[in-house]
Amino acid sequence: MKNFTYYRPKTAEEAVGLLDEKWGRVELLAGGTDLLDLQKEYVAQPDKVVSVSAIEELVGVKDLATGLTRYRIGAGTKLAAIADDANLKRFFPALTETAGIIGGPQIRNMGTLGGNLCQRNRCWYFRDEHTNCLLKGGEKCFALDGENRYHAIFTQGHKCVIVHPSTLAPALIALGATAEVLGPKGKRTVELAKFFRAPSSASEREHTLSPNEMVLSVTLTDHQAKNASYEVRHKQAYDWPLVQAAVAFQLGAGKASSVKIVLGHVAPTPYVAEKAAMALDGKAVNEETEAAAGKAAAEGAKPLSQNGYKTKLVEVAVKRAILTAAGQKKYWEA
Amino acid sequence: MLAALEEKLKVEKGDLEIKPGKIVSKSDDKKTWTWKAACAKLGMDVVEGKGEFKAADKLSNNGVGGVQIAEVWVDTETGVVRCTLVVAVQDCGLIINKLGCESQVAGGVIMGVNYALFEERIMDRVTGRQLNPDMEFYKLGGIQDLPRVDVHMYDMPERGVIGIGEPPTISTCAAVGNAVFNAIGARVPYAPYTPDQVLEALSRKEGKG
Repeated sequence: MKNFTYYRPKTAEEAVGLLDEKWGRVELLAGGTDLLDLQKEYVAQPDKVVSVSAIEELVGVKDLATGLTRYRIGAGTKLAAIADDANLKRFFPALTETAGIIGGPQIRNMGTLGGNLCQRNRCWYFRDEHTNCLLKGGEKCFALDGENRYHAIFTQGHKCVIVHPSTLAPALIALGATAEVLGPKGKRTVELAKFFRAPSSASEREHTLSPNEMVLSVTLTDHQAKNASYEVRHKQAYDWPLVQAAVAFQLGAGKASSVKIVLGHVAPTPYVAEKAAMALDGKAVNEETEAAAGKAAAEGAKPLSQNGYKTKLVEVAVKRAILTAAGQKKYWEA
Repeated sequence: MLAALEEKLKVEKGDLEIKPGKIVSKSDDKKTWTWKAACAKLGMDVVEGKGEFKAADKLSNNGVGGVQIAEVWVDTETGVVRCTLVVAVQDCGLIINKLGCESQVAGGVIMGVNYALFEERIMDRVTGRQLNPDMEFYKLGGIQDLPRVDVHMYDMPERGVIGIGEPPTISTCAAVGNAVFNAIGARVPYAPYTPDQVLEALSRKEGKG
């Protein structure tokens, strides 16, 4: 690990003041479950590390009590605290169930909401110090014609075929969350659906924040949507999903409306499956429409050489997420 | 204890007595030892024994046998395999340390299940580098991924002492593979039996049908 200067400011304004206009020289440190690994591998070599752990306003889940059921989750809130929050569990199971199965207990007790949203991707070429891939200033993406079993299947026009690692992001986007961001010019609010982008060079990250901005919080409003997330996993703990589907929809008179379906681990950003949402919208939620939505979600997938199986997994994950949200029997459990 | 101390401290028999926190000499009140110092003089008791295994021709490191049976759940939509039970019957001739033997077999089964379902060294064909030299993508099962392991040691004293090291890990992968075949009616030709491999085996079977 390269030496660095450590800062631990007490306010978000001070933290933002320490940030740089370019990526790379300064890094924000929250739980450290991602950054420390990157530093140890010399993939991240910051001169300054700014810890946000002393900023009290970043921690906690707050009921905003605006008349609507609205919750503000501080960016420094631990994943374990999100998973265990009684109110969030009641209204947003898609979020809490997902938070509760990230990594293992150690990860969930260190990792934070903000860190989860802003973490770097897990591509093994990117994480290998000796492979100079596109995101580290190199000429090409090694996964395109290399080992790509865990990479993206929705890759239209993308030069880099990572999958976005966050599993909270698809759930939050399906739930219509917004993020509050602080920069040198003050605060701004951004829809989580517009928070991510597909990076293609060393000067871009997996999100749209400027290098001198930080996430303060995420706000969720309860619209009484049925919601759930389903992950297809090779291993049950300490593993990333192969494919994730998060869904949210209103259920009135037996029919689904305002359907949102967002996929994880299939594209460089969380992937909003609009065709799948249309397939379910206005219809009764049953075996037939669940399967149809799954099929529609997989439409347009262009798998790489080794990840064709993910297309099939998208169909299954979407079907099971809808079924879970609707409270139907989980037929796949013994 | 006083008798042992009298010998170690070189005093007359019956001369020592115990007072609060110390040992004192009855004949010479200048001679006292703290309890700790006196106990330290006691030293250790030694147990010694010698033995010899004379029937050297009966010592064997081969001919070891075992049978393993695996139970798996296969999610035929996702291709995810979960191994739920392995029964391992293992012979190692004369069993000397039953608990140690059983533990060795259980360990071998756990390694075997990982070999069957998770472990894989992924190499990049262009750079020649290993892509998963870490515990993140070099997958190893955790508690939730591993089966109940029932070990039965098959004691055959008449065969003499036989090794137990590696043999218990050999059959597990094949047992799991056979269980997967039994469950889905198609062979998964390569270990580990990952979701993509299992799905491919299933679609091949459907294609043939």
